[in-house]
Amino acid sequence: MATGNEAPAEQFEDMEQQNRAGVLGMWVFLVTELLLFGGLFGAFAYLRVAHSEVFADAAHHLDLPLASVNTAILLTSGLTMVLAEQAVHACRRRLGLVFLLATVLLGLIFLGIKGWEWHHEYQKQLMPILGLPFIYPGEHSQIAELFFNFYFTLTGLHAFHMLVGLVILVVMTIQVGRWQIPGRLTRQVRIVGLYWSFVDVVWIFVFTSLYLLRG
Amino acid sequence: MHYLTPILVWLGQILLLLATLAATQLTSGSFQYSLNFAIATVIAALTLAIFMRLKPADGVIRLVALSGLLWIGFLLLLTILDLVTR
Repeated sequence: MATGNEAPAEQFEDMEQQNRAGVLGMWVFLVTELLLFGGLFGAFAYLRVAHSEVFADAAHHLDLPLASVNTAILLTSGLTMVLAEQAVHACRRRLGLVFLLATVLLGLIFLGIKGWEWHHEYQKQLMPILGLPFIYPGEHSQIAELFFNFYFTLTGLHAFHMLVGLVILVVMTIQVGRWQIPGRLTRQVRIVGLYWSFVDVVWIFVFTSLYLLRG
Repeated sequence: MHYLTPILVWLGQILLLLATLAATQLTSGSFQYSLNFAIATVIAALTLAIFMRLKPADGVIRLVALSGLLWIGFLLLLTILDLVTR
């Protein structure tokens, strides 16, 4: 187990307080991230209710099977992240590295599949960004374009958060590889794990809102 | 290390994912949407409670998480209520 031989930073009374402060700080940050995504979800919810039929029809143009596989991949990365946390806490360096690398790999696969989906939408001319032509094979193309704007904004913002998470995970993998100050590594991996799980949770609702509401 | 709980939670999440996909295929309309969001909420709750360790967390952390949930709940509820009551 990672021990408490490490001295707390100057502003903390003991390591327990420092650990709690780190976790609390990440939770506060995640709530601000919820504000960010919440605004987008709020706007999407409004338009989804206002234009339910067109949005439901537009959702049929998304690749549900591929996104479902992607969702399973992201959920699995959540598992490997938690197992990495546990391994590092138990001072099992190699196992921690395996699970961290698995998490990074699954995250990269997720982004690869997402990029593939976007490429498909680009080929079908359903990508109304950067001045690209938008040709919708159905009625009410202007409203459908709104749907796709939300699709690319939500999935794009989520992908950006994944990318940031992956960079941090790679840094953590290197740090765990070096295995200096195990107590500090435990704290850091736990805090990164919170961020990764949050990105997971956001994707669940992005997936549900964009892909599943097609009935 | 405690493998069992995270693995069981993950299995539960995968099963719930399959359930929500089945709901999308087999049902439609507002019943389907309610089912989809209910399942998404359960998957998210499992992640929050177990993976993010909200269940064993102390009061301050739970308060922060709850405040976030309340905020987004109010945002979505009042936004949609505004629209449907016009």
